[in-house]
Amino acid sequence: MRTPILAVAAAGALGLVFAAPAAAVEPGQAELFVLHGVPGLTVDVYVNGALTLDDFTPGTLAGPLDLAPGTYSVALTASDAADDSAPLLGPIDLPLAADMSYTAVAHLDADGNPTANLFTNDLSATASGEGRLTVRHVAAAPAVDILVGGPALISNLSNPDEAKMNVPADTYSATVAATGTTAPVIGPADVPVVAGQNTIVYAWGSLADGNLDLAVQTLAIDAAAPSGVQAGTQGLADTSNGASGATYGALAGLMVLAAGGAVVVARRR
Amino acid sequence: MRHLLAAATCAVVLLTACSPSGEDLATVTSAALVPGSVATGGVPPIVAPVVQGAPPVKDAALASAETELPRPPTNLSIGALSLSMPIDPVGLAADGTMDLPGSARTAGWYQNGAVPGAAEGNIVIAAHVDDAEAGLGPFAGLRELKVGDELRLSDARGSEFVYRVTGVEQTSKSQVDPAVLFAGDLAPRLALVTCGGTWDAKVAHYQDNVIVWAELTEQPA
Repeated sequence: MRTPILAVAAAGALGLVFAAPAAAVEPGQAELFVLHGVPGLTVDVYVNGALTLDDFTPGTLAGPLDLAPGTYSVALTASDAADDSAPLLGPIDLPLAADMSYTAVAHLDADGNPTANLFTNDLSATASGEGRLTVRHVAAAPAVDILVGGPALISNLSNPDEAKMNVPADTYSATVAATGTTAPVIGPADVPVVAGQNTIVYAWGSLADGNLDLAVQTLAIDAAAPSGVQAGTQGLADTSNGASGATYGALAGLMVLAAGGAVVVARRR
Repeated sequence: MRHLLAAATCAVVLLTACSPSGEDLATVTSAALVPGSVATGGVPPIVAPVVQGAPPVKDAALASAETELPRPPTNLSIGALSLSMPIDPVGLAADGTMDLPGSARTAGWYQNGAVPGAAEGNIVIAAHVDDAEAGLGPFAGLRELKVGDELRLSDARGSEFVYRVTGVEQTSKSQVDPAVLFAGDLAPRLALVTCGGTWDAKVAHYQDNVIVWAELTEQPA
């Protein structure tokens, strides 16, 4: 199943065109995504002994699962297995804490053997106009550099590590190259980073088998609501004296001159 | 040796994450989970409830990310006020209030809230009612809006969303509930916010918020 079910459900129920941003982590719950990054292998995924993902194919992302905090046992089996008694991978323990977002990734290690890792998704707030770019190396390949418009944005990233940074919202043309080189092993590819979103890029597959690729997961950053809106700096719109709108307009210029030297305007950054 | 290295990396990352300048640095973290995590032994004891139901599954290819990402509003126009202004994404100011563009001629969209067309959550767009350079800004006119007036939001691709005013309120800031204004899980609404009422020179803030509420009536096909 490769259709984005979440998007279809939202559109169907509410008659809306676009998918909602990923909802915030349910309070008190842990949020788990599962990414399949082992080429050529369709699997079933068992969580605590229960079949949770049937016929899970490479390059797809499942989730979120909203789970009570705790340690979960995950096993991957052949897609025709009757139960999880003969796993291809695992079982592994995933310790999940409340109010956190995780992605468990089944992938190849640097030598090409199947493995799995749990990544914590950073949903802490970013500054105005910034999103977060996270890069995870889950490919059977040596350490890499991530090049954006020439220089290396991220250097010497090894399987199974991640790098992250907050960047101005934009679309970045990114190239993956072996560390210290510039010849692309992946890309260049356009990676969109939206303000208030964590764009997580996975380099997966195998260099030796020629099937390196990028997978992408985007998560809405889960910031606390602002405590209020302080949206004035001068007092020009003051209505305490019953002044009319026209009066403000006439006075505005003079008051700006009077106030200009003394007032500290709230700055964006 | 490998695990020692991984632990050291993690410690460095924690320190970096706490420093104010940490956000400008690329932090590299080891994700190594459980040593020897490819286990061959029996299933460990179940300590958490069995998972109910299958989660949604989608293609993670880069091409599909582009279509799924929310598209922030980039321009607001209000015919009744002959107003058209650019919108920048904003987060939180240092004091925990909504950050705003410095100029009253530019509006800020709360970047951790909803976008036009989202299934739920308020779209909050605010601008200073005045600033030292512009004097009174375009949002000084918000309180003149009437129920039924039309508002238009467009995004970077030029898609246009039409809203109609459902209410205009001027409310003391002490009575404005941020949980309602910034609600992320209620039916989608647009809130335009600025300041009004009495200017309190002692704290350099107005006492009230002027809020225009609107509902989506037309969206791109």
